[in-house]
Amino acid sequence: MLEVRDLHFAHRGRPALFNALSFVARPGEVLALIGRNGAGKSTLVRLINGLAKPSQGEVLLDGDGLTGLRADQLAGRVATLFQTPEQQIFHDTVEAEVTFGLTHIGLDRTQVRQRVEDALRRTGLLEQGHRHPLDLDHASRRMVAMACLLARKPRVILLDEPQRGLDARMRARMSRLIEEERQRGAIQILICHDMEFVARHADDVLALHETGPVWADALEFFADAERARRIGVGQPLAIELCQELGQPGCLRLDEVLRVWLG
Amino acid sequence: MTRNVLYRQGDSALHRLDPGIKLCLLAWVACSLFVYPWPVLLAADLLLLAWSASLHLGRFVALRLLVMAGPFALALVIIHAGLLPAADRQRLAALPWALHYSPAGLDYALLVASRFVTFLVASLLFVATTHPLALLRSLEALGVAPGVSYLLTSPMLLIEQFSRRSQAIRDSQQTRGMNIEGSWLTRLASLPSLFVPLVTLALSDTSERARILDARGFRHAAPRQQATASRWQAYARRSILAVAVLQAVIKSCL
Amino acid sequence: MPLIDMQHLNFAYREHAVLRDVNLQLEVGEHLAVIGGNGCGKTTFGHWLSGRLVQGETGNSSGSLLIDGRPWSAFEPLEHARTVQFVGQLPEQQITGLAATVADEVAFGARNLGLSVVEVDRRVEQVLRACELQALAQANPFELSGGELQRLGIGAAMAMQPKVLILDEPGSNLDPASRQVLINTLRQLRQHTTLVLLDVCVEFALQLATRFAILETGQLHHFAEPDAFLRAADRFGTLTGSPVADVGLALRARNLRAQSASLPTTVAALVSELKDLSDA
Repeated sequence: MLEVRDLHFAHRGRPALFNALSFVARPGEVLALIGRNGAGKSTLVRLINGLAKPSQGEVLLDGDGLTGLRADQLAGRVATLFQTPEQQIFHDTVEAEVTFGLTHIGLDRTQVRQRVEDALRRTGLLEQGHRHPLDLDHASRRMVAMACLLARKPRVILLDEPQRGLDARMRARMSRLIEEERQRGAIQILICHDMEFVARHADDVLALHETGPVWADALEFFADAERARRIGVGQPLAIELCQELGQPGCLRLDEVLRVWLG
Repeated sequence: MTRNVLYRQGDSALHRLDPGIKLCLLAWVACSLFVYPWPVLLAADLLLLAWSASLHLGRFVALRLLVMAGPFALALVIIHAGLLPAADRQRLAALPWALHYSPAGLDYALLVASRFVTFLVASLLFVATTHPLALLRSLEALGVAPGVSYLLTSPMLLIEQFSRRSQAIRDSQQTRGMNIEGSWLTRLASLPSLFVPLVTLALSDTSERARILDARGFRHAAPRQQATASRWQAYARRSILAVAVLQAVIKSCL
Repeated sequence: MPLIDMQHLNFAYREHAVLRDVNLQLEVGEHLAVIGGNGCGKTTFGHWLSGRLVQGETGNSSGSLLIDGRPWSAFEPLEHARTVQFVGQLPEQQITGLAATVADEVAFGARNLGLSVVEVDRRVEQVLRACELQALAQANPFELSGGELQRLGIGAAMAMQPKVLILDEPGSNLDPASRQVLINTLRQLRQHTTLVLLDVCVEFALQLATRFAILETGQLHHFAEPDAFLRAADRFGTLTGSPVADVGLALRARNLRAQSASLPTTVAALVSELKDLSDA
C-alpha cells in the first residue's frame, strides 16, 4: 500500500501547495491525479518518486518510509513515465535502452534478458529492438520509455499523461499495459487530463484544487458535475449520458448502452 | 527586458549604454592588460568592483570572481612564486620557519592573475548589463551578418533553457536508478546518461530552430524601418578603439 | 488555379515508402484536416507541403507540387515565408530563441518582412489578442507552459499572415482547457488563410475543418463530409475516434439506427438519438 500522510509542501516564496495532504493507494488500484495546470500534480509525483522532499509529512510504501531516500534509491520500487521520453534516451538501440534500467537492481543476465524480451513484446517493440530509439516516432519513443519501466516490475508506477498524442491503436496498447500492471498488483498513479482515459482506468480520483484536495471514488467524484466544473475538469461521456438519460451513474459507455437499450 | 541567467535588469548608465560601445570598451580593456603593470590593473579591479557594487551587482561579480579566478590566482602564486626554481629566491620573513619565495616569480604571478581578473570583471559587468537581445540588435545595426550575430548571442539566450532541460534529464535518469550524487567515479559513470540526451535534444532543437528562423525570414530580412546606430555612437566606438591602439603603440615605443 | 496543387507525390525514406501517389488540390481559405495514426507520415507530408522537402532536391521522390502555379524552388526566401508557415509538434522548438519577451517573439518574423513599426505593432496586438496572450506579452518565452508556448508558436506564424498555415498535431501536448483556447484562436484566422491541420485526433478536425482526409499506408483519402470521414476513421481503426461518434457508430453497427443516418457529433445529438431509440 502507498500511503501519503499529512504532506506539507510549498515552493520557495510561494503559498503552500499541499497542507496536510493524506491519501492511500492499494495494490492493483489506479489513482487518477486530476486538476488544472499548476494545481500540483507533477509536484506530488516528485514527492513520491523522491525528486522533491516535503517540509512535513511522509510517504510510506508497505510501511517503509520513502521520504528520506533519494530518487535513485527508490528506482527499484517506484518508476515514473515522464511526458518527454527523449530526456532519458541515451543508448543507440531500443534493446540497450530497456536493459539499462535493470543493471542497477541486482538481476542476473538471464533474468535481464527475459525481462527485456517480455517488455519489448508487451510494448510492441520486439521487431524494433535493434533500431535507434530516436529513429522512432514520438509515440513509439513513449513505448520505449514504458518498456524501460515495465522491465523493472516496480511496486509503484507514476504515469504522466501516458495517452497524450497516441492514436487509437497505441492508446489501446497503453490501456492494456495499465490493466496488466493492475493484475500484477502494481499501484498506479495516473496524471491525466483526458477524462475518457480516466474513466476507463481509475478506481479513485485525487483532484487537486486551490480550495483543497478531493479524494474520492471515481464514480462518486464525476457524479457531481458542479464540483468537477469547479475543479476545472470535464465529465466522462458515460457520466454525462447517464445524467441526461436519468440513469444511475456509470463510467463505462458499453454499460450505459446496455442498461439504456436493455 | 526580462531576466536572463547572466543579465541583471537595471536602469544604470551602463545598462543604457550602447552594447557596441560596451564591446569596444571591453576591447580597450583587453589591450590595456598588456600595457599597464599589475599594481595599476589591481587598482582598476578595485575600482571596477566598487562600481559593480554601486550598480547592485557586487555580489554577482564577487561570487563569480571568487569561483573562477580565486583558485587560478592562488595556483599561479604558489607555482611561480613558491615552487618554480629561481635565482632570486629569499625568505618571506626573518624567521627560521619562514617560507622561501621568488620576488620575480611573485611579480609574474600577480601580473598574469591581475590580467585575468581585470578582463573577467569587465566581462562580467558587460554580460550583467547587456541583454543578449540588445547585443543582437546592436550588432545588426553595425551591419554584422545575422548568422554571426546569432552565433554570438544565442548561447546567452538559450542558456536558461539548457539548464532547465539539464535538470529534467537529471531527474529522469535518477528515477531510473542512476546515482548522480555519489563519489567521483559514480558521477563520472553517470555522465553519458546526462550528456547524451542533452546533446541530442540540443541538436534536434538547433535543427528545428534553424528552420523556424528561416521561416521567419531571419537571414533574408528586408531593410528595417528602425533606427540604425547613431553618429555619436560611431564616433565613440572609433575613439575608444583608437585610444586602445594608441596606448599599445606608446607602450611599444617606450 | 488551386493555391496548392499536389500531383502523384511519391516519397520513400530509405526504401520505406512514406507517401504513395498523393494528390491534393487546395483552394484559398479552405481548412483541411489530415488525420493519420502515429508514424503514418503526416509530418513528412506537412514538410512537403511547406517546402521543407523540395522536389528535385529531395531524393527518392517523384510527382509535383505547385504553389500558386510555381514549385517551391522558384520562391525567394521572404516570399516563401509570406506564403507558408509550418508549426511543428513540440512547442518549445517553435520559438526562435532570439526574443526576450512573448511580444518580441511575435514581432520577430513580421519585422524581418520589412514592415513599418506601426504595422508590426498592429499585427502583434492582433495576434496577442487572438491567441489570448495579452497578459503574457512581457513574459519570457522560455517560462511559458506547454499550452502557452504552442499558442505563441502559432501566433508568431500568424503574424507573418501566410497564405497557408500548417499545424502539426497542435493539440497533442495540450490539456482540454488549452485545447479549447487554441480552437478559439484558430477560428479567428483571416478568412483567406488556408489551414492544414495534421493530427491523430478527429475531435480537433471536427471543430475546425471544412474538408477532411485520412493518411493511411502512405495514401491520402479525401472526404467532403464529416460523416463519411468519421466512418472511414472507424474503419481504419488507428485513429482516435470521437467518443460521441463512436457510440453513434456502435448503434449503427447493431442496426439500432439506419446506416445512412448522420452520425451524432455532439452530446446533445447523441442523447436525442438514444431517447428516440427508447421511445421507439
